[in-house]
Amino acid sequence: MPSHTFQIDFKRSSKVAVADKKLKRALVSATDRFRAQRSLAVEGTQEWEEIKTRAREIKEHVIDNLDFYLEKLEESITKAGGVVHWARDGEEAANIITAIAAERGVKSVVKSKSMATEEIELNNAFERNGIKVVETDLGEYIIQLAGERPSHILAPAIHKTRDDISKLFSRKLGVPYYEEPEELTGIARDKLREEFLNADMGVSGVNFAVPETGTIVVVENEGNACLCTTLPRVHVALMGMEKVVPRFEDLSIFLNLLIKSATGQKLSTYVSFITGPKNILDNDGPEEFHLVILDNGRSKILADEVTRQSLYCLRCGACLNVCPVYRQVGGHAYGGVYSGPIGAIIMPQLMDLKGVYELPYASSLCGACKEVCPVNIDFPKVLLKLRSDFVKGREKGRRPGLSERMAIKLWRYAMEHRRLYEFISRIAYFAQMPFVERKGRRNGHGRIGSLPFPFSNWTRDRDFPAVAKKTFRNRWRELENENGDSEDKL
Amino acid sequence: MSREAKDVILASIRRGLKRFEKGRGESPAPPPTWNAGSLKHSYDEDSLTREFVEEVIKVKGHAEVTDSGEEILSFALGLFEEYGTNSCAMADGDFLESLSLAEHLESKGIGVVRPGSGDSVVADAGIGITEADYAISDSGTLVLLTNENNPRSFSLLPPVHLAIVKRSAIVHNIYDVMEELNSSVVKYEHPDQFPSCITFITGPSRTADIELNLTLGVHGPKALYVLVYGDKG
Amino acid sequence: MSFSVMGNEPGSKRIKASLFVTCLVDLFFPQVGESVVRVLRRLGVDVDFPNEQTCCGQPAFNSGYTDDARALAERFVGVFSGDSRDTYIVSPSGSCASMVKVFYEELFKNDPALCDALSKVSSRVYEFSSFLTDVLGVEDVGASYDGVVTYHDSCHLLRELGISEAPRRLIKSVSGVKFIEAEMHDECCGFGGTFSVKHPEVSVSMLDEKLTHIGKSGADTLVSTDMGCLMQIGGAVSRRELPIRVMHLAELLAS
Repeated sequence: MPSHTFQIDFKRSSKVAVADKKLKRALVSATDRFRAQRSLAVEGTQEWEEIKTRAREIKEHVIDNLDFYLEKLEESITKAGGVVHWARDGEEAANIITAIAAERGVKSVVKSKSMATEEIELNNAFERNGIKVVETDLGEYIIQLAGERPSHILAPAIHKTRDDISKLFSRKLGVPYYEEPEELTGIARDKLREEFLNADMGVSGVNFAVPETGTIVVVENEGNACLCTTLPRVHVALMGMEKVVPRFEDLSIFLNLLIKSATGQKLSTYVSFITGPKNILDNDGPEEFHLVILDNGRSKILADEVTRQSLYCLRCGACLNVCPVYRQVGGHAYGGVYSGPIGAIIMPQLMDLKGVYELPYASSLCGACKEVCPVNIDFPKVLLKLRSDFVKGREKGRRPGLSERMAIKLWRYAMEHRRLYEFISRIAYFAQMPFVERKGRRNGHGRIGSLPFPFSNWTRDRDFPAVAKKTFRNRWRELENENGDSEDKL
Repeated sequence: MSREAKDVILASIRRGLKRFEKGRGESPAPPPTWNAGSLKHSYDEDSLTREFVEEVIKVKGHAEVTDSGEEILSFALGLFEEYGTNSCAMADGDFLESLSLAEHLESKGIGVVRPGSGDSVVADAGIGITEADYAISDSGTLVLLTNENNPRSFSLLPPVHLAIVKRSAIVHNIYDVMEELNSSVVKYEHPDQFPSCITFITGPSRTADIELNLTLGVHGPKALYVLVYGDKG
Repeated sequence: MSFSVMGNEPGSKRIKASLFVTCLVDLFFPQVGESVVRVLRRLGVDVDFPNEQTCCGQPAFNSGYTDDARALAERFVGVFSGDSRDTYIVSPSGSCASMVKVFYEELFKNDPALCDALSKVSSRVYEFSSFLTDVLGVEDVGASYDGVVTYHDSCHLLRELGISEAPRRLIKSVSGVKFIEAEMHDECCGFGGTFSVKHPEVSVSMLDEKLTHIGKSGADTLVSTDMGCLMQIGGAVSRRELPIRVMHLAELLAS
């Protein structure tokens, strides 16, 4: 099996994204909308901070006892008539799922939105095995027709305008060019309804799994996940192994936190609690239920005490919506699976790919993500830990370039030796002379409009301040003597 | 293969947690479930009903309060006229039964699909009629438990969903409903007593995937009607 | 009118503060350090400047060079351990203050002796605005300024130290100032230390948005509390010759 087809080069792709004005408009309006809806919902929830804290405690507890809970989950699901599978990595998970399909003569599969299936590139695996797979979430359907990757956890097609979608539909589906969202949605409904009724297997993700009862929970707005998990005779759910909440009753706070953080709804349109396949007397529902538990690097995340908290994530997407970096570049710049702050912390931990270890640098460390996270993930702390691991060369020997490492060593040496630091500041003062413009400046402070690489990265769009003729410490020698005169100055 | 994967995963979890000694299967004590006590007020049925109706309307559903079976029948007949259909898929709820709604509709020439029919038959029905087991006033949510009388697809496949809710089935918030479910279904010993699916429905099917435009009915029903039934006070 | 409100009553001890001036202020913006000194002295604080200080190590820490950052952190703790225990350490940067108060702990977590030394230093560290309002209990420092002022929340001051009201109260108390909030005043300006040169296009795109909001606010003066942000915002204001004055809070309060 070929390894990932993802290409992660944040530097290059972010540059492309920033230049795309249409994308910028779409991102700003989407993230503004999500931010406003979330704030409103949170303000209306008096118990918000309390349930956040409790949810965090529960998540910590679950991850600290994950082995116990996963076995318990398997036991409960088995009791409910389902089958549990374990996959060490994406390849194994894809093999398990395609084998389930092949053994049952499945010809066509309908899928609801699931980031985990994106992570393991399940669609490619189905296609390699000659099995038709159709994404049924409208956004995902658009993305699949376009042959692209989702750009947002919740709204995978936010980067596409209605014009893009109209053209895409008429090209791929042979329908006339319709522009109204209602018309386009109607076309998708009709096409996908056929797919639902003919599919042999439905694949879904899992928002939560409850070991106590063997219940999995799927949260959505369109109803496509309900259809995927109801109509086909086989339902396979793929779950990242961290998605566990211990008790049925805990779902109340987790649903509350997830949904309000994600879309600001009080509850999403559909929430399904699925426990095993259909019961004997039920008149519909799948005959078989399979849960695939996916590790794929998660046990490695769990082993690090700082980054462990990455596993508490509920995939609400709130961090994407408040992230000023995501807002400029969108999801594709991160390589296309998990994006935004959560992508920057979990992608390097889940995937060993060129460029992935640079993702933790795709953040100004502003901390807005930490502020909105419903399970209080300390994003800056995790980002810093991952940066540190990268610098130490812990990631399969990949590390920053020699010139950067040397520069930091020299800088440190200067900062450790105050006299040297002062001396260098004097050299810099004189060395900058050819670059300094004084024209039109207040207080005679110089500005520098152009510097050679790597400083040109700054000066291309911003002036740089000139090193002061007299540094503060030099001025202090005079200021010190003014001491006591201060009253007079008033 | 699968067995081996399970062992490897569990072993690497234990290694990651630095718990080499502990055997499997021991039961850890989780933190207490969150106690919604601070949010509990004694709501009377009237205020729950009022809030529920308001919230259903906020999520683009339609909701009305009725106090007679005749009103439900005439409301339903109005829907068949409005949507130009003469077929429905109707669940077998006790309450629907007690109204003899199916018989009344059939007497008006409306085809009634009952549980046990195939998906494509249900999909062709113009209206799905169900009885909610619970409703949440604070979010305008219906809670439906799947069983032989209540197939999942009846609230899902037809383009219009009409749900009947008894006033006494309305609770205030998600904490209340989870407490109710926790003390009823979770306690069942036999796995087949536990509903294979519990569906929470809040408004008609919706998407905003095209330029954030809200569009109803992308997969599930385009329209949701809720009738709250029961004697006042 | 005297503004030396604190600690100057007969018999009471004067408040002492060591300036943690930050390397950016030392090298590029000495006038900001001077303003801090003037404001503190005006309020009756004895100001000192431990001359051995250089950089707190934040640039290395934020880039992942933990060992290099730790060396500078140790050095910092050593330099400021020389102060007497009742001396506050005041910094005109929320970012550098949070480096010491929040992030040093992470660097020292395997060394109890250092942690101990750190706690003695970090508990004395205050960001300039919160020192004025929380320690000195002052809002009106007796400054006057004629202009329409808006405030940019620097991320670390806001989210690591949780300070948003202190600078606003100080600004609003300056006589002649009309204060207005800009939209998205708590959104990052795109500086982020080395982020600004590692991903210049993204950084500048964030900055563009910031400038748009500042422009729309109608303010003629932008005040913030961190030279990183001010270098970023000021760098573009200067390049584009925008009609906005960019200044550190201390400069406003010294005027």
